[in-house]
Amino acid sequence: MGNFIRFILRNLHFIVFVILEIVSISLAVNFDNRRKSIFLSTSNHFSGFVQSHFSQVAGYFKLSGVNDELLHENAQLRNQLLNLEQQVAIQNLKPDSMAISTMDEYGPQRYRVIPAHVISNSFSSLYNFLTIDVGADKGIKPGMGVITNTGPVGIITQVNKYYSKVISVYNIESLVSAKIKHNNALGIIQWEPYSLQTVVMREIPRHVELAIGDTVVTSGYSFAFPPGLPIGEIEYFNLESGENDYTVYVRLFEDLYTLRLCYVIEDTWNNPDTFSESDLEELTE
Amino acid sequence: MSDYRLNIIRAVLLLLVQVLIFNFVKITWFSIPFIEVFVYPLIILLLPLRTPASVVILIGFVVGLVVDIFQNTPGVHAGAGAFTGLVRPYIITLLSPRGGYKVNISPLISTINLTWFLKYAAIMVILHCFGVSLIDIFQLKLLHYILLRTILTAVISYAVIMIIMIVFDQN
Repeated sequence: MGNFIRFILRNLHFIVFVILEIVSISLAVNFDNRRKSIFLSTSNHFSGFVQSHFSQVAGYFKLSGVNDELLHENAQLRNQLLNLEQQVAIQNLKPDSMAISTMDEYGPQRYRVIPAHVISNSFSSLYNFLTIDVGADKGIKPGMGVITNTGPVGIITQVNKYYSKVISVYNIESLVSAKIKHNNALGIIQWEPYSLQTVVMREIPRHVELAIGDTVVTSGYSFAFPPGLPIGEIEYFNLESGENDYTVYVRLFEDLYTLRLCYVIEDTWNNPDTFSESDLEELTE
Repeated sequence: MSDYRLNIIRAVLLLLVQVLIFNFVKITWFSIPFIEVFVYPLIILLLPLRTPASVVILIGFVVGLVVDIFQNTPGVHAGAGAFTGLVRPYIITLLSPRGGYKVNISPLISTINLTWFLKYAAIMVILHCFGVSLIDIFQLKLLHYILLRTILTAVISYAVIMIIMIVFDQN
């Protein structure tokens, strides 16, 4: 305590100076508009700098909420994208199709996208399934496709009110219709047990020209997945003697092992209500 | 006792001269007074050597505040005065002649010598003008402008202060 008082007394002139400078600068700032604006803008600059760095740290605590928001926004955008792609495809078709005009009204709302979280996931058995946290309350029905930005995840098999079971791509019973992007060669993708990140594409005839690195996309010949969704690229392929088809090994773009967020795709054309017998008759006339 | 009285009379006279005459000598640039004449730093300069440091700072502040009140620039000269009061003891120690100072004199031409006072006044006036410019312009972005103003104001103030000293400090 004595030391402290001695310290204060020894530096008294400095303390007096600091106090008086604070008084005079606060006077100078408060009684002059130009200095006031300079002071405010400078202090705003400084506090903005501090706050932006603080909010960078604090932002980590809000990430899950932000994730959900982004997920919904993504779903919405994906929805628009798929429908626009559909519209463009229809418009390209128009010149040589007579019946397209009636399809136009189905075009814009063909796909509906529902965001979902993966709750459980398995890789160890031959029959792997995922569970996602959307169910019948969100309009999920068996047969809908589940995708991410980088490829298909699986197809919904069972639905209860709040959860759905998805047959994973990593299930030997799961078949996905796919094609080579640049030449539209059609094939079927199937999982080879216990190989992660790689699936096998069969039924590509031997005359088709393939190259390592070709992109494989979904064909769109099923109601589960929209056409043109990327799946993976060709890792290698072989043609055994006497075989008519290639065996193509495709490396998946997506990593199902770390999957957390996905989207359920509802194809409204799959719904018989939107395409009744009378519509068919009209189209074929 | 006469020491106190002398300092008070000197302070009042210098403040009157500053407030009534030199406050009206002003060249402005972009609404900021650019070239001014300050004679009131002389009050701080001429305080007795043994004045306690905090008292010098306080006197500098009060003198500056009086000038501020008449110039309608609250805080500018007060802050600069306090700053001048703070640096004064260091400058005096820096310039101390061989053999040191005589006990508790006011640092005048007649009590020390002309060369010492020329140096002392130059350093103090430049520092004071720098303080005034810094608080007045208030933007480190305009540092070149602050320095230019410091030099111009300090040269004129220095000339006036030296004339006052030579005229009134002969006996």
